[in-house]
Amino acid sequence: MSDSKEDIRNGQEEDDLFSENEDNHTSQQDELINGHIENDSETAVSDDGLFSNTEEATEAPEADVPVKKVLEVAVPNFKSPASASNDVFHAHIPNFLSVEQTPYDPEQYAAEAEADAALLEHDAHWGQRIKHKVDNTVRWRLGPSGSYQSNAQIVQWSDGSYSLRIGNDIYDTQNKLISQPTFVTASHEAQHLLRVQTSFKSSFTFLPSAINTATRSKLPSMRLTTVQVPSRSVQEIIIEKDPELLKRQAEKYEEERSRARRRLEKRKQLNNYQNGTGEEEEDYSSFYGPRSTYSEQNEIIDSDRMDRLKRIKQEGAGQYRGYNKDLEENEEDDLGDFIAEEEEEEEQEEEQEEDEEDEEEVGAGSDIKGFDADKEASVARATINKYEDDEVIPSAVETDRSETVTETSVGDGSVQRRVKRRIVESDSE
Amino acid sequence: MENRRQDYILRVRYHNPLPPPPFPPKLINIPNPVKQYALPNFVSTLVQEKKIPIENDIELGMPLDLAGITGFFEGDTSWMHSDLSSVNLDPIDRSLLKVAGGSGSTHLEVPFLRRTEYISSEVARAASNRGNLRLTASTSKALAEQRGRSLREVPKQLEAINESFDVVQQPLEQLKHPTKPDLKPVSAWNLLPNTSMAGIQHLMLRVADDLSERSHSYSSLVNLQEGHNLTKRHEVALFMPSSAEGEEFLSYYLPSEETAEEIQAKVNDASADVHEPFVYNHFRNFDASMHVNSTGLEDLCLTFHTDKDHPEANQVLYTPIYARSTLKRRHVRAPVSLDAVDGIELSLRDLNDEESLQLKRARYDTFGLGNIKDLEEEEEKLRSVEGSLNEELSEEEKPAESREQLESAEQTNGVKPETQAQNMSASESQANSPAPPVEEGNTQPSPVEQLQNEED
Repeated sequence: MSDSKEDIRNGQEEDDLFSENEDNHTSQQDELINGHIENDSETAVSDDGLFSNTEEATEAPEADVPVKKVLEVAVPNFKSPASASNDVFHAHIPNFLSVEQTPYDPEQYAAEAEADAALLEHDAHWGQRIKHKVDNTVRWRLGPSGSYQSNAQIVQWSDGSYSLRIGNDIYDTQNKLISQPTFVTASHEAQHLLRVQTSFKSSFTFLPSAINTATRSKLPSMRLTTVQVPSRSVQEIIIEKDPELLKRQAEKYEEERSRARRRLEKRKQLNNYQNGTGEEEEDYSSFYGPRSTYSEQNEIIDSDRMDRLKRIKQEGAGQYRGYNKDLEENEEDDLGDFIAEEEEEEEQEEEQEEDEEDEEEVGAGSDIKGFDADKEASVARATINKYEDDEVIPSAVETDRSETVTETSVGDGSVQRRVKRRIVESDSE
Repeated sequence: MENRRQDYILRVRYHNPLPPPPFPPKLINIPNPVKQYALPNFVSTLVQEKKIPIENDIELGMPLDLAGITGFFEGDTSWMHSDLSSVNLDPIDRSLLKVAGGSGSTHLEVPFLRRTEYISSEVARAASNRGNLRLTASTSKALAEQRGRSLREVPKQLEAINESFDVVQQPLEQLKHPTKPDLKPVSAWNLLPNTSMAGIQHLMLRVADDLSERSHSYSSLVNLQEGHNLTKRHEVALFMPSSAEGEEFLSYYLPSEETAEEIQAKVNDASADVHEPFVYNHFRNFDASMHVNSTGLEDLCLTFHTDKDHPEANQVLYTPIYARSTLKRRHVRAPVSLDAVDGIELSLRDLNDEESLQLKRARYDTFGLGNIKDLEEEEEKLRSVEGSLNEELSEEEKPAESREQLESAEQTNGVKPETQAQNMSASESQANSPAPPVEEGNTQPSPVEQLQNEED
């Protein structure tokens, strides 16, 4: 049918063309030429395009041939939703509102509601669904006189703002200007074309209002609760103290610990040094070796050393059992000296102090030498003591022996002091 | 050692003992009275050190040995209640003994398992009456849930819907703004569907590109001075889907300024004296991304029809938009199909019988307007006419066939007077639905005119 009609129209056009005068014919040719010029200015023309246009321009005056690759379409003249005198707005219906195009019929609604009643029982939020269906739906119905009635209104307030009113509910409307060109086009499926009907200048957005002025509370509700996207939680590490500070404290603690160890080591070394002083004393005793020319002095020195060795080497007594008897005989001799020189005790004490100072001055390097000298001295003393013992034994009496035993300890101290005093005398000489 | 020893010739140590003090120590007489030992300060330390051996009434009057209470194990609890019969309360004091909240009977319908949200909703409901608070989503949901549960029965739902229709019919002066009491309503438009747009698919195309002219012609300069981003040519433009090398895009075609004015006149008035066909030239190519609305009613085109003489007749007609798309400029070097069309010659014609019938069918399916029987009859006629056309191809017989259609229509009208009456009522409803301005703009042959032609 459409094809046949198009053919008919083409025939009519041809008739018109033939019936027109020559002047009209020339005016049409001029229009075609203008069209070509506009083509050049409007489209992004390439070399091929220019070439094709030039060909068309040259061909135009010769014959009434249309532009190359021109599509001839006849589309139905659909009415536009809006004429020039009407305001056009774009509105996006949010998910908490619904629009019912079918006119409202109580009987039909009741049937549908009863059918849905069974399904609502399985929904935990069936109350919200009912409210959405009853209060949040834009409806229209046919009035008794055949007029259209609606349950929704768009209200303009004194400040120029708009609101959407559905029954007793009022929704805020935001009016925004559309910056980018937006067209409403009608689709011509048969002709494979979209024809622009009108363009939008501003857009409405409906927002749920928080307050309702009705007697009952009929606030809007979302149709379906939006799915909550699980938020990714970030692990939080709570730090009460500055980590660098803790690091420094740890280092400081380690340093103090190492210092303490060093101090302990030093103390141990000091103890060893004190033990070394004993060796120094022995070294000092070796000093008397070269001065053994005087017989009396030698006797005193030997006895002193014998006493000390006795104490130190009690453990090794087995090796020196033969010399114990000699030591006892020496003690008898010491008693005589002690009785005669009691008044000189104070002087001897002073000499002892001086000797100690000398010992301290001596370095620790001579410890080994002193030890060796002591051994040699002890051997020499043993040989000498044998001769002295032989002289004393014939003159000994039993009573003398008892006295010597009681005074043994005192005699030892006196012997040491005498030895020191004599040394001093030799120095003065 | 020997050398060191010889250096010290004489060593002498000096004694310096201190003499004893010349006098004995002085004894000071410090008084020490015996009375101080009897003062409490002197004894405080002793008191703190020693515990007080006092154990008076450990149970504090509440014996744990319940056997001492007479009748306890027999269920007699009289010992727990004091005797108030002898007490004479003052009327003012007696009123304080009443139970708070009264008898407890309330009109609210409480669900079996009441959630804690309702408690906050109760408070919020009272506060919402002031009109100064904006409630949270959870509270509004709870209130909606409660409202919906109160409408459990179908008759209540029907009553609520009827109420919504009646409320809108009330005078506009009674309406108050929910959040701004000082505002007053100025005008209102009834929201109604645009029934004449049934069966036509509308798409919304948003152009994310500058459509301003590149040339410096006189017309473009004038438009720039006027501040218009879009010229009249774009209001009547054409889009055509195209494809090249597997890619789909939209080609944009524009007419000249003069042609645009003629097209607009033709659209508004079908009988306008203009030269057809209209010439369109290729302007640009766009890449399009199409999004089809699932419910078909997510995007609406609202058209305000204002009648200053009769404010109650103001209408906002909404037209559903089938889909929306965003157009972006296509690169100049993008592939273009060899079959690209450089121009379109458009002719605007009236609707043929088939198309008008399709629109009527869509109108009935969508809005339930019109008579189904008449539609079916017309469809049958159309089929028979097509059959006859196929058989006879001569042009001379076509006018005769059209005459036959008219005769058959007259016969049907005469035979069924009831259907005629229904048609009249339908035509009245159709006439009332659009506002006067729309009627002025309506240039197509409406069904009313068709019916009149049939009557003739």
